[in-house]
Amino acid sequence: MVKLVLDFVFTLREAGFKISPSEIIDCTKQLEIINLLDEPCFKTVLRANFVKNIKKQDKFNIIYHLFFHEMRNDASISQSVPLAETIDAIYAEIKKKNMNDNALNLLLDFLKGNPLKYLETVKNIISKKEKKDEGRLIPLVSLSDILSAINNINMEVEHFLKVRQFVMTWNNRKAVAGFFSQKLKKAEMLANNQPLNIKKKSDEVVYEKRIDQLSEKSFLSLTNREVRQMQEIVAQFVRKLKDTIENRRKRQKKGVLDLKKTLRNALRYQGIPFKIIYKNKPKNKGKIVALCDVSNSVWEASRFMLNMLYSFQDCFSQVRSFVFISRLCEITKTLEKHEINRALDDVIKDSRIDYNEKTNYGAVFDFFYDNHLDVLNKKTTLIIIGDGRSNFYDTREDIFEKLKDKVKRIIWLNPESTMFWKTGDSLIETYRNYCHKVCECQNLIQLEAFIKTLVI
Amino acid sequence: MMFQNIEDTKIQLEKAGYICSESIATVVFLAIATQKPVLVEGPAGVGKTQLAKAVSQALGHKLIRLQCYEGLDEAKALYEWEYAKQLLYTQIMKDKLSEILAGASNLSEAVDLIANQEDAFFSERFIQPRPLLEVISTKDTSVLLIDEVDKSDPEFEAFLLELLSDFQITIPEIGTKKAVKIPIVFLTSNNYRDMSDALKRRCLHLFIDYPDRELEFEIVRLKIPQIEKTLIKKLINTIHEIRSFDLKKKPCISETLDWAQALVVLQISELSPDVVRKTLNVICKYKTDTDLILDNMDVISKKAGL
Repeated sequence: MVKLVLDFVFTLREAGFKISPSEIIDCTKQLEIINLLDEPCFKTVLRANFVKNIKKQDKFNIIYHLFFHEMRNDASISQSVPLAETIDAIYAEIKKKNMNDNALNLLLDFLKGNPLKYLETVKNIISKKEKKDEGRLIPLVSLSDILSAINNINMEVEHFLKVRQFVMTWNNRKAVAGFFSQKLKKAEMLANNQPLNIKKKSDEVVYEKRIDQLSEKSFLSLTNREVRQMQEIVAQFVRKLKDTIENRRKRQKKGVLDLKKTLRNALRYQGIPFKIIYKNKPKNKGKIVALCDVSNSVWEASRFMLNMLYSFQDCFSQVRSFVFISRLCEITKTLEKHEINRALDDVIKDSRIDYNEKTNYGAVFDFFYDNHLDVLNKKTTLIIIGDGRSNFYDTREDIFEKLKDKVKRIIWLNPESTMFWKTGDSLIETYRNYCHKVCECQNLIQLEAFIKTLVI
Repeated sequence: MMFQNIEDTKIQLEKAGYICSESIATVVFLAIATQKPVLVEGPAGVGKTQLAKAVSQALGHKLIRLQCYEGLDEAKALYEWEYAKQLLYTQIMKDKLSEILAGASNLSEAVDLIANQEDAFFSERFIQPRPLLEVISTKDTSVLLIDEVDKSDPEFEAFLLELLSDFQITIPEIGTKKAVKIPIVFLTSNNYRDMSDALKRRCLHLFIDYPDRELEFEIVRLKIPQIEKTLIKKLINTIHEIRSFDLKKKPCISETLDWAQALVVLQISELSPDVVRKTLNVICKYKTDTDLILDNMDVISKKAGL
C-alpha cells in the first residue's frame, strides 16, 4: 500500500504538486483507519492530504483517474469479456516462447494491467535520452528492445489467431486482435512520446517559466489565450502587492504620541501610562486620472494598466478613466459597474468609440481641456497610455503644457520600444518635454514596476 | 466522545442538523481520529462555519471561536496581562509590600526583594485568556474554530503554526504551555488570500463546493420541514439555474434557506416567474446581479420548469 501511495505521490510531484514527507506519513496513517475498498473515501483521503489548493483539484482528479483507473481499467476489461480465456492463453504462449526477454515480460505485465514497472522503465529511457548520458548506466531494457517486443507480440497474436481461424468466430478474433492492438499502441505511444504522467520537467516549472515568458512578452503580441492567462497572473500580482502595501502602511502608520488618548487610557491604571497610543498618520492618497489610447496597437497595454489601476483603487482617493482614439469618452462608470475583466470587454464594445478612425492626440487633449478640466487638481496624477503616434495631426503642445500646470505630475507610458520613439509620426519626444516621466511599458514586468512606484 | 467511523460521523452530524457529503464526513472523521486540524475552503455561505458548530454539538464539546480580521494580534487572540488587576492587588497589598521591604538597607536590596516576588504578579492569575489560550488550558476536549483565517495578516498566520503543529503556545513571562487535551481545530477560508504552504502542510484540506441538487434538497427539508416537497424541487432547480450565471455573488445554501423560509412566511405554495421576480432580493445581493437575473428570467423559468 505504501508503495502504491508513494508511486502516486511521485506522479503528482512530477505534475507540479508540492507534497512533503509529513503529508505522506499522515496519509498512510489515515489509510489504515478507513475502509480501503470504499473508493470515494480513499480518494478523499488522498485529496485532503495532497491537494491544498482549490485550483489544483481538477488536475488531481485527472491524474487520479489516469493512475488508478486508466491503467488498471483495461485489465478488468480483459477479464470481464468472454474472451478472457483466449487472451490469457495468448499471454501464456508468448511467455513460454520468450522466457528471458525482459522487455517482453515488462510489456506483458503492462498488458495484464500492472503498468508500473513498464512506466518506470520508459521513464528511465526517456530521461536518459534527454540527459544524453550514454555512460556507465545503460538501462537493462532499451527503447529498441521495447519496440521489437511490441512487434513480437503483434506477430504472436496474429499467428495465434491464424492457427485458430476455424475454431474461433470471426467476431471473436477481431475483438481479441483489437484488444491487443489498442493496448500495444498505447504502450508504443508511451515509449515514443512523453505521455502525460511521466513528464521530466514538472508542470509547475513549466508554468512558472511560462509566467516569466508571458511577463516578458510584449503586450502587442499576446494571443487571446495568453490574455486570459495574463489576467490570472495580474490577479496574483495584485494580491501579493496588496499584502506588501498593507504591511508597509502599518509600519508607517504610527505618527506622533497621542497625549490625550494615552492619558485617558492611563486613568484606568491610576495615571500610569501602560499603553502608549500614537496618532495614525492620515493616508496621503492621490487621485489618478488615466487617459488610455485604445487603438489596436495599444489596447492590450491599456487593458492591463486599467486592470491594475482598478485593483489598487483603495490606494487612491479617486480613479477616473478615459479612453480615446480620435475622440475621448469616459469609462469610469462602466468599470465601476462590473467586475473588471468583464467591464474591459464591455469597453471594447462601447459604441461611442469608433475604431475606424485614426488616433489624434492633439484633438483629444483639446477636448479633455475643454470638457473635463474639473477632474484635475494639484493632487492628481495624470497617466497617459499611448504610443504617441498621432498620424501627423496637430500636437497641440500648448494645451498639453496647460494640462501639466493643472496637475501634480504627468506620467506617460509608452507600449512601444524606445528604439522606435523618434521614428515616423511618433510625437513622444515632443510631449516628453512636458511630462514628469516617460516610461517604456512593453510588458508585464515593466507595468508591475511602474505600478509599484505608483502605489508604494 | 468520538465518531466511530465515517458512517457514524454522517449520522451524528445529521443529528446535529448538518447534512454532509461523503467526503466531508471522511475528512472530519480522519481529522478527529488523527488529531489534525482541518482547513476548510469554499465559497461564502456553503456551511464552513456551520460544520465546526455541528461537530462541537454532535460530540458535546465546547466551541471556542476566534474570528479573524485584519490587524488581529496576539493580544486579542492569545492573552493579555490584566494591568488594572495587578495595580489593584498592589494597592491592596501595600502593607505587605512594605513588610517585605522592611529589611532592605538600600535600594538595590529592595529591588532584589521585590524581584523575588515577581512570580506573584506575573502568574496565570493576572492573565486574561483569549480564545487560543482558552483552548489550550481547558480540561475537556474543545472545538476551536478559527474563522476566516485568510483575513488575518501573514504574521498571525505564522504565529498559528506553533499552535497547530505542537498544540502549545509560549508566554514569555511564564513559559510554554502545552494543551491539556488536544482540541479539534477547524480553520475556514474564503480564499481571499493564499495561505502559506507551511500552514497548509499542517492541515487536512477540505473543499466544500455548492451542494448538488439532492443534497441541497435534503438540507432544505431538514432545516425547514414545513415546506412542500414539490416547492423545494422547483426552488432548488431555480437556484441552480441562477448559480450558472456569472454573478458577483452567487446565492449559497444559506440564501436558499432564507428564500425557502421567505416563501413559507409569505404562504406561497407555487413558484412562478412572478414570485421569483418579487422575492429575488432575498437571493441576489447586488443590483447588477438582480438586473442580470431579471433580464434572463424567461430562460431560467423555462429551464427550471416553472
